[in-house]
Amino acid sequence: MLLDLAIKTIWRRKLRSLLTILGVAVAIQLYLMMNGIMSYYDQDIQRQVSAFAGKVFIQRPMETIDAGEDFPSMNSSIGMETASSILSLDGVDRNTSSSVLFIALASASAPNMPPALLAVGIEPGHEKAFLGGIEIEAGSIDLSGSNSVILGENAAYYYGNPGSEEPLEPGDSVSIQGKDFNVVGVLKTASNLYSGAVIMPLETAQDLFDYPDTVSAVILTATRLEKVGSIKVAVQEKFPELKAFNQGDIAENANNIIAMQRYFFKMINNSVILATVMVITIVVMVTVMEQRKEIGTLRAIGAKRGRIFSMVVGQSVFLSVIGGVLALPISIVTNNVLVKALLSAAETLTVWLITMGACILIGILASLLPAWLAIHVDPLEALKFE
Amino acid sequence: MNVIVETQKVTKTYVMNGIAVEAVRGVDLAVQPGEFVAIVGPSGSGKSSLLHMLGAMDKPTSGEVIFKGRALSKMGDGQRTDLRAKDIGFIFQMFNLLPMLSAFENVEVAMRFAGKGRKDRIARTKELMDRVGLTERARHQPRYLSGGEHQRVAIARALANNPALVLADEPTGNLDSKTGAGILELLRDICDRENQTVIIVTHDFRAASYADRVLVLRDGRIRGEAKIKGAADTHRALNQLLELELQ
Amino acid sequence: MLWDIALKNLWRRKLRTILAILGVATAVQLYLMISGIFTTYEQDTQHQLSAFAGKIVVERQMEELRGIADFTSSGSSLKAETAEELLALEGIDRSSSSAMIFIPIARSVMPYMPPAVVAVGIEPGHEKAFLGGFGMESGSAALHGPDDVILGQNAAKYYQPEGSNTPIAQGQTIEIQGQTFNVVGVLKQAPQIFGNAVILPLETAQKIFDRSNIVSSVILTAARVEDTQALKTEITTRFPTLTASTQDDMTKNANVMLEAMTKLMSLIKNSIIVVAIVVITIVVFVAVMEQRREIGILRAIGANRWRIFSLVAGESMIISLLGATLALPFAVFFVQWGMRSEFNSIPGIFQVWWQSIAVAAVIGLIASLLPAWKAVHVEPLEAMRYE
Repeated sequence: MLLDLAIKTIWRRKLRSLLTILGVAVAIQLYLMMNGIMSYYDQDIQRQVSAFAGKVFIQRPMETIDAGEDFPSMNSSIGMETASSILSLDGVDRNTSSSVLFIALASASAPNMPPALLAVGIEPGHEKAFLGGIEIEAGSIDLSGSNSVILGENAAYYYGNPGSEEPLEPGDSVSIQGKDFNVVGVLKTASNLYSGAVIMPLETAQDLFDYPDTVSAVILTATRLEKVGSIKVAVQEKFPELKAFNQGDIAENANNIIAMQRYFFKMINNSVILATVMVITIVVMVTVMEQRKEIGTLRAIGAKRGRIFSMVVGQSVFLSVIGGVLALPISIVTNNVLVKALLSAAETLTVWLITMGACILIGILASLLPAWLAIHVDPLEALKFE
Repeated sequence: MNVIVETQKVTKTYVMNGIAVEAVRGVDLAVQPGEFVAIVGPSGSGKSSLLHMLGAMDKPTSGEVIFKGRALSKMGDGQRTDLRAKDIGFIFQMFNLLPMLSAFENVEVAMRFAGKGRKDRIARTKELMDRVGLTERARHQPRYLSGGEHQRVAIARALANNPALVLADEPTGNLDSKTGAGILELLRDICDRENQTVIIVTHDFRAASYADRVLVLRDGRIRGEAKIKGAADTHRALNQLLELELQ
Repeated sequence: MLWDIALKNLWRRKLRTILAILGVATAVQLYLMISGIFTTYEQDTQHQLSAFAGKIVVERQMEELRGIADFTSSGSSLKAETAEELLALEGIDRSSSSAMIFIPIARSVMPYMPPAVVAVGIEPGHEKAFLGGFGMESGSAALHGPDDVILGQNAAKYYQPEGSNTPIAQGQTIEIQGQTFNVVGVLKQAPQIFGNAVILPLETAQKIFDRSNIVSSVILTAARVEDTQALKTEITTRFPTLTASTQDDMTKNANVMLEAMTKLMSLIKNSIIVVAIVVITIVVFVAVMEQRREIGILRAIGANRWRIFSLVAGESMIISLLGATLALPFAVFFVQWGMRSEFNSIPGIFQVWWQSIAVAAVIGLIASLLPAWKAVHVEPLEAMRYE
């Protein structure tokens, strides 16, 4: 295997190896950063989508040019009568269905994220339409009082007493857009859609935000899971200018929205890998050229080509793996700073394994050319230059 | 002072892997302008080290090298480098031509370090190529040149800036006897016709016989010296030196 | 300055030099793309902002959370009566003021961009409130009938019929929410929201999008420019739930957003630069190591340390400059292909290009420092070592 020779060679050229490893580390760190950002989005989307299991979400669509719909759309407008018709469709569980009004209170904190603060007007008694499956941190989801409000985790912190850094709790009062509210519940940590939610009775929202007779969307829950499909079809037939999303549609839409972003990040990652491969190729190739004599000697005393090949590959993989290992702690720091979300241990391990896999692949790719050169060193040739 | 270069009790000690090696153990010599001096000795006698010090490429461990009245120890790196550019021409045993330049360019590049303008450089290089008999081969890169041709280019390069002193390290070391003789004749010719001061270092007595004066170096010290200009003396002088050598 | 020797050295190790140049080109291309996109976006934003000189945009107030104000997609909603009150204020130029409704028709693929196509409902006769700064490519800037519509150039492209390559032109018709409209005019090339606009009468917009009696915002122009600030103060006092934004306010908002983007971009760009420097350093370093002998010879025959330094620095800078130059066409290609019609200007990239050349030169210089230090300390005696 001649791995020990490979390592000795790397050690002999300490400065060069160090530089290479540094370059690889920086490149891989970039790669990890891009991955970190994307996985943050993926996770958020997962969580958001899972909240809509068994539900049908109806809004007025935009005409899309593969950009995906805003979800939920702040610009969708559905008349109250239309909403009532939809809610009385066959197969709809009226108790856990509701018309909803969405108003963005504060813009998204990152591109393609829901608004950082989102006012949600929902029919009292039908809160489960939006909050079914979402856990409560404290209090209840009962909006029977006209100035009741349920806050998502971030909203609770935002509206908390200024300077205190304490979030609001059930029982506290809060002033929103000039009106006084009672906090009746606070949600547990959830996807960005919910953590910024400020949920109040529908009529209160319509009044406060100047949306008389209009809602943004209708959320339906089927009485039985199998009915979801037929409800969706019924809506599209009766109201062709509206669009019905089931959970699958929501997921697909979310992916369309961030397609551009993904492309951008993929591009960066591909470039990173390319650059890394080149760096290592150059370094290993040069090392091989320097070692012509040694390789010739090895061949002369009986080393097969396979051994030489694996020695060179070993060098290459070694450099790239060390670079990758070094990159991980750096990237954890940058990811934390950038995304403010430390991945869980399991996720970190997965990322790490994938990265190591990438490094090994890079190492092997980078070694191909130099290894080919090394194999073709003629034992006699190398010995002639004495 | 009429002396081009002189050394005063010069020594050189190297430390290799913790072991001290005294290559030169106290050498005094002086070379007059226009002289052709040969320093003879077996390998390990310290002759290369001595030459490196004379050529301002290495510093003595103790003692002084004085070039045209100036002590080298008192010079900074920049000044010594300048010396090597303008006042000293060095011919290496391994020729040491720059492989990616043609013969012509190898000679020309040396003049850049003396600040010569382009026109002058080209003119002088042509002149030198002629002088060493390489005009036809001037555009070839070193790998296409024979050993003797390498050495001629090296000589041309060494002469490029009209140096006060030409130093040659085993000028015939890597050449067959016929080619070697040609080189030595060239050096001799340059010394005679252009009054060029030449110091060569060699282990070969036949090479040394071209010189005006021969110094025998052994174990870092000068053991003997003979003026050999003039045919009659040559044999006897050389025999004496050979005996010294064999002791 | 020994440039010719530097070039010859690079030429001698062709494969390695080419790989290094490619490596640098890849890094620089990425750098250029990011900068190019960002610069183009910045410019477009500036351009859009300039259209709001002397105007005040009144909308519902949002919370102050650190976020990115996204003009017109905020879902701000005002009752028609509120709009009327605003339009009746003293000191405004009524003809250049109007209640507005903004309804996105198609979403933008890029973050922080206004919708790719947006319906803009405006009071007929008051089109100047929105269109004041822009000229018409064809037709008129006046909505006479309830089915009249004026298109920005991007909107015109969006509505071009299937299989056709020409955008919709004045005199043709388009369909929105099932209703047919007459294109009475097409705007000249304009930035962002203006180029993406489908301008129709306010009442028509309210009807087809189910928003009776609601508007999104009100754009006011002061009768005298000096009164703008006073007008703004009056609005915020009388209507505490509303926000009045002047051009300055919008600029501030835009800068907040740009700042956030800039941070991320800088992080990426800096990583790229580090990688490029490392690549070149390694290549040049290795070259120096291989050429110890030749450097020794040069020193022996009289090259001073400066000359050696410039030799190494020269090799380094040649690699980085060539890499940067090579990257430009690729960067242009990728941005245009990737961004499609979102951006109208390649100039964004060219503007960055000369900067990149400077950056490349600096990278080349920095990358040469370590190897050059090594090279400069090669003693003339190195030339003699292998005897």
